Amino acid sequence: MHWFGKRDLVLPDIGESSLALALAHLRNEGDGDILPPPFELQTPILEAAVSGILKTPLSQRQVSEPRSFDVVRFPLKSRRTTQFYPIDSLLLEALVYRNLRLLEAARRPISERSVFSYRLADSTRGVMYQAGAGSSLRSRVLDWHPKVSMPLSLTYARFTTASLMPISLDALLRLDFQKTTLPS
Amino acid sequence: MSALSSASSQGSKGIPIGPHFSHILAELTLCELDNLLTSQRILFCRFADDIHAFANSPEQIASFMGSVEAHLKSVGFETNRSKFFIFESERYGNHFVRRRQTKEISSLQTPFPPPEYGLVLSPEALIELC
Repeated sequence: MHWFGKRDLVLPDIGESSLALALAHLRNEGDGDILPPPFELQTPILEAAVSGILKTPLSQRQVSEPRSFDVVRFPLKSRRTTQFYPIDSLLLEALVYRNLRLLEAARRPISERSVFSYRLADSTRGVMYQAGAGSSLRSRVLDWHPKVSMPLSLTYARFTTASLMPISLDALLRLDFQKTTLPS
Repeated sequence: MSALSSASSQGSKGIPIGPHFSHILAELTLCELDNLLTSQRILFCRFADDIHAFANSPEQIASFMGSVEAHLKSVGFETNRSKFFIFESERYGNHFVRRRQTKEISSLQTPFPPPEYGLVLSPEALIELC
């Protein structure tokens, strides 16, 4: 299966610099926030993969079946957790790094203090997210004195895959072609 | 996309849990909801899938919930009604102070975070607090 299904899209080149940033991040912070990072991330295998990724059009790349694990939570609960193969992680994160400024520009501005999660850091040091978002959320909420409030929690487990993924990928691809004026 | 789908086809629906890329996809997908809430001049905060909205009456909250659910349904989300909670201001303050998600985001990036770190709100925890 191709990355983007049957859609006939001319995808932009990911770029060597984006791959380098993704590689630095994977080695620094791992590939996720639940499972331990695979040992391959610390080996030269990924450097060798970079040249292959650069030579193959994104639309022709094959996807490996990711590993999944049930992580037990107390009491008597489990979560199905996923881990991509290192090369796939590298590719997907490179896509994020390539679009990093556009992704942030598409979101509510940080100055509005409304969206705090996973704010991307424009860093070359292997750090993907800006620090301190949790404490900012806390201070923001405690600043307000509403009469009624409603925490509304959605859960990833209830997202509908078939609809969520095309929407997300479409949005990501739209950013590639958008003539957005980036904030300075 | 095949890989992403198959990763969550066994046992639960949704995007894969764990990879950083999933976080970004989720954020991107929720951008439209953020814009909707902002355009309706609703005071809200969001951390991943945890949304806190504020109003001055239960009627305003009910109206807000209706518009949010309609929007989410239109873009293919399901909402989990068991995780909707309405608090009076004082009780909400007590609840929020004790939430684990108020930790620095850096603490969420360790390979083995605490099992209940709070990107998903546990209904049991809320009942206990109430």
